[in-house]
Amino acid sequence: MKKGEIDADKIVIKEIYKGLESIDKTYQVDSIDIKWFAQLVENEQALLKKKFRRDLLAFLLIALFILSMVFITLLEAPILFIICQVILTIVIPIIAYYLQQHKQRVVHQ
Amino acid sequence: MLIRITTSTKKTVPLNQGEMYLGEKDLIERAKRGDSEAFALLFKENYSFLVKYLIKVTMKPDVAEDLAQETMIKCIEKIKLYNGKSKFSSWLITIATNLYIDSLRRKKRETSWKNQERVLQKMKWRIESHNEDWNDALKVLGNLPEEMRISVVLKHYYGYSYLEISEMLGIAQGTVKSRIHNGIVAIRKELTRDEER
Repeated sequence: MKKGEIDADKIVIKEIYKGLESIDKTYQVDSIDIKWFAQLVENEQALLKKKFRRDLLAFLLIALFILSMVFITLLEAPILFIICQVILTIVIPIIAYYLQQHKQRVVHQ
Repeated sequence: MLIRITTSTKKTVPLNQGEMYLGEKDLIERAKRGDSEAFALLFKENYSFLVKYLIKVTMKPDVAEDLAQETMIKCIEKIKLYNGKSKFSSWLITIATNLYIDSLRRKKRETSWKNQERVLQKMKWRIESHNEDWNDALKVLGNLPEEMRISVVLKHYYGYSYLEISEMLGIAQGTVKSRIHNGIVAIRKELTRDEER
C-alpha cells in the first residue's frame, strides 16, 4: 500500500468517525421508565417458562415413543432391529458430516 | 427491593430504605437467577447505547428500536450463557448484530437501493436540522454491504480489535480484516470520485 493511500485512509476513517458521532448527537434516545423494562422481562420470563414446559412434555412423549418402538422391535422382530442398527450406524455419521460441511460453507460465505 | 446503578461511576446507589448497593457484576448474577428488577436495571442502563449502535449499523432508525427490543428478549433467554469475559454492553451488541444479520438472511429480498437512498436522505435532513455535519463518508458507509459496514463501525467507531470483532461475528480474523480494508477502500474511492465530479 502506498503512503498516499495510507494517509487518505486515515482521513476517511476520521470522516467516518465524525459522521457516526453526529448520529450519536442527533438521535437522542428517550429515557424509558424502568417499569416498562421490568414488565418486558416478566412477560418474557413467563413465556419462556411456558415454552420450557411444552418442550419438556414434547421431549418426554417423543422419548417414550422411541423407546417403545425400540423395545417392541427388539422383542417382536430382532432381525429387523439389527438391520435398523446397522443402517443407522452408517447413515448418522454421513448426515452429521454433511451438516458440518454445510455449516462451514455458510459461515465462510 | 429497589436498586439502581449510576451512569457516571457505574457504582450503585440506593433509592429507598432497605436498598442494596449493587454493581453491574452483581446485577448480572441476580439476573441469571431470574431477578426481573436486575434485568430491568441492566437494560435501562444499556438501552440508549444499544439503540444508537443499531442506528449506526442498520442506518435505519425505525428498525433500530425494534431490533433493540428483540435483543433484550434474546438476552433474557441467553443470560445464563454470558460468561463475563466481555463487557455486558459488548455482549448485548453481539446479540443485536447477529439478530440483524439473521433478519437480513431471512428477508432475502434486499432493501432496494432507492429505498436506502430515501432513508439516508431522511437521516441527512435530521442530522443537519440538529446543526450537526452530515458528511459524504456517512452516505457511502450507508450504501456499503451490511457485513462490511458492521465491521467498519465496530473497528473505527467503537474501537474493538480484529480478534474481538471476529469473536462477535463468529468469523475468521482474516475475514474481518479484509471486510474493513475493502470497506475503507470503497469509501475512499467513492469520495475521490465525488471530488473529481
